[in-house]
Amino acid sequence: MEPDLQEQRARDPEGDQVPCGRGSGKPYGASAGGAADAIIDFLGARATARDVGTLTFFFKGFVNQFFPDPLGPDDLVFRELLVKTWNEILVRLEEGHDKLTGQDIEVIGFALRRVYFVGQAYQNEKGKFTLVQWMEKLVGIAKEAGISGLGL
Amino acid sequence: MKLMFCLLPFVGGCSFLSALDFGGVEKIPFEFRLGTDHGIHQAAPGTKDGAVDDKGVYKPETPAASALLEFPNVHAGMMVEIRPKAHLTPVVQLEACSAKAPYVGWWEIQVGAGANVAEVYLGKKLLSVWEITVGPCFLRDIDQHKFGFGGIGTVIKF
Repeated sequence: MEPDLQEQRARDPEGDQVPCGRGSGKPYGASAGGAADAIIDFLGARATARDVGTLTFFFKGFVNQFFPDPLGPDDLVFRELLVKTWNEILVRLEEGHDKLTGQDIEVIGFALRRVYFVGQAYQNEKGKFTLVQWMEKLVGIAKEAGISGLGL
Repeated sequence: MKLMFCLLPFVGGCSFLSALDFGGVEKIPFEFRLGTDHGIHQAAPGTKDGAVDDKGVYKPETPAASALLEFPNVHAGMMVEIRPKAHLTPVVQLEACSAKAPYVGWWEIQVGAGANVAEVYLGKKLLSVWEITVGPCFLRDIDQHKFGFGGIGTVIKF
């Protein structure tokens, strides 16, 4: 096990990779600050498995805002597909230390295309948000995250 | 047409097409994959649903999400039936397996169907990621109740 993972588990025996869910104030265990640190590590090609986990759960918390509460079976499957695909991209970026191989590009391309086509089927089933609804949703998330200014 | 099919294996090795067909592990000369094997990381055994393992690999909360990523590649394209009768039809293909060899690059075996035709297709991958393939197929014409052959080009994989 990597030292930083040991350190993390020593800090929090449950591990901060344990899903927390809505209403906990810390969706899926990843804070915005932790996510920002992880992004900096990725940009500096210093990312570790912990950074992958942090960004995965931050993304999961973010996209979860766009799904109904409680989740229906279709919602859960599509959300998990999005999270798994995002995680796959992060794992490959972390393993390659920002240098993707042809194999990585193929797998990422395949996963994104499959998400797109499953997403089309999901949208047809669930209906589409208008641009205004998307903007309102994003503004709501930004307000929840404590971002002010820009007329929010 | 026959000459084209004979030459097809050899064009895969030309530098232009080799550059476009870049999938797989560069240092391994021979590779084989089933249609269900897409190279997606699997979480280590014992990982809880909705959590990540020591390498950061996420295990979805529902197996259906993994199943969606493991479903075989689906290709779409056009088929030209040459025998028993000239016929052009769109086809949908399911990838059974693919293999890579030095010089000739990646080839795929697909099974599929179009209007009044079912076929098995050997496709040469020309472009990675979007997976443009061309190649010959062995077919069964359902109208004519006869076996025959033709050519297929697929333009997208999803």
